[in-house]
Amino acid sequence: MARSAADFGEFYLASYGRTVAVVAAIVGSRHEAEDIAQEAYARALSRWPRLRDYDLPDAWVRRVAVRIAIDSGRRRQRWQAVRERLALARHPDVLEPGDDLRYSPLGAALLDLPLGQRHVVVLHYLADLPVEVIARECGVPAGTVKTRLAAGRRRLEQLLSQQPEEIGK
Amino acid sequence: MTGPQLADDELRDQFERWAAPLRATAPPAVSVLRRRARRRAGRFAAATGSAVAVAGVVAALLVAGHGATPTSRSVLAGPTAAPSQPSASPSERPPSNPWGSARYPAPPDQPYVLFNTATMSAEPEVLDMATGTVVGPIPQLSNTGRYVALAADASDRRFVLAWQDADGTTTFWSETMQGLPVTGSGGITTVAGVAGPLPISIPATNGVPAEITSMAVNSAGTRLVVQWLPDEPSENSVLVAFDLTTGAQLGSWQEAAGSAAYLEPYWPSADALAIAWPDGRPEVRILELTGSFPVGSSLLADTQPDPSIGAFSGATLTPYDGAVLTTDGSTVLHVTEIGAESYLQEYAAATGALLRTIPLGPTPAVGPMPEHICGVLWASADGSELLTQCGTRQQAVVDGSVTVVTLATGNFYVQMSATAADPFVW
Repeated sequence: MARSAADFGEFYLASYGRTVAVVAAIVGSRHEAEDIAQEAYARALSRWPRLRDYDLPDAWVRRVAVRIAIDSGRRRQRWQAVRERLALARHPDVLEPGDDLRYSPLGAALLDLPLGQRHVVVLHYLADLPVEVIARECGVPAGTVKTRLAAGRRRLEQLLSQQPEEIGK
Repeated sequence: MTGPQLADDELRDQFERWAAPLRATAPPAVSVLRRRARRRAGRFAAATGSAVAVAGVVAALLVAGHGATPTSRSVLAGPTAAPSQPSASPSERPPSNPWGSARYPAPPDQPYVLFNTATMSAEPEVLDMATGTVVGPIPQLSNTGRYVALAADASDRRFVLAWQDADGTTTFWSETMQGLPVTGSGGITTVAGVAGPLPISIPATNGVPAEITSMAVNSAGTRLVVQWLPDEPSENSVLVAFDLTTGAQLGSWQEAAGSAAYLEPYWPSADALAIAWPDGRPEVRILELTGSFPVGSSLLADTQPDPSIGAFSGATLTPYDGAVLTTDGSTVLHVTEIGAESYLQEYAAATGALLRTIPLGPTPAVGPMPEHICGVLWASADGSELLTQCGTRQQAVVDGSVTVVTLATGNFYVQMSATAADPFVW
């Protein structure tokens, strides 16, 4: 059991930042990305005796985190109400510079992509995954991934060539 | 229309620069993750145990031949103005066969019903599992609060629901399923119930409501134990036992540092609760609720190992993806994978000996989401009937015979909180 815990700690330390980056690219918020990443690692911890034998346990965590990220967008509105209810005034949730990633040109451009395109673009350019693997992770045919990737890339190119303040308009 | 050409390498470089500070993010301590995992596990136990238990009751009622007269779509009667007296109702069980009549799966025209608390809707619902139809909502107590936890007694007839209002106070409500008239075609028309507030509440701490991880009601319906996490950054839960009739607090205990205790559905007696410590203390210990306990007593010191329950090395007693101790304390049930096949394993609780292994077939693809577990969802008191789930496949095991169950609503009812930001999916 101790060895298992040590294994997990090592894996967690080594891969946490990568997972946060991928999720942040999808949700656009560092705070939210960290929250989602921690949830994904908590699930991994519960299943570590099984996951530790996987060739790529970080791929499992990334998939879980991305699924949560996509789902969390749908739940965000509800969460706003919950935050108020939980009296978060005790811990003022003031955004710090750099936390909201839309203020960087690439972050803003990413958030301007439709979710399906953003998902595959992030997995391809940030997680460095080939099309076939992205297709498996997204549960769509490889052709769909290629189409989304091409469209997303075109849109990114277009957005990044604009002035930052124009992005997102 | 097209902008300047952006080489793939250049785009990758931009991503690298953008992601560099994020990749350098320091992770929080593993203990923070453990806390999250425990919170989720608690909700899982409440959601699956109670929800599927309702299915068992309903199926049993159907077999018992309740008649039907369409009346209304109300599900459970709304809370009454005055506190109701708890009423354990063993006489309301189908006679002579309280569990065994509920065969899984029910015929297609006979509905499963459960509390669906995993929808995006604010209101918990009772669903017809055969059709997916929402039979009706469980009434909300106000517009500013939510139900946050649910426990059922061993008869699956009496439920205690925890409600948190806007000010963070947690109050408790009793619901008793009293009957289930159905139409000739199997359609549910009314589920009568009695609801009432219990004289029990837990105040918010520093404005933060109690984070309930699990609740348990004894078989006699006279005791309620609530396990909750008081507030950040404590990782140690608090257990508080109440007399359900008077609301009197029987005691409160602090979990030992570094351990994680889980309430088990097994009560050796009306005043004895079984607790498992899967984190390094693989045994079941018994908390006797008789006597007097100072507030904040040590849970470990006040519990004793249960000599009738052995220690298990092959199956961990956790409510999440782990083994299940039956409510009569006789059997430990566990779904395991051997090669590409999955199996149900039954252990004798007293000795830990493996009693039998029942093949469940090839292990289906298990998705990354928490609802895609491989485990036992619900078991009857002695474990002779149970429901398993692996991936999206659910199976009924009745006296060793395995049948695939197709539920109209799939596996939604074990869906749990997707993030801590969604604390009310349970």
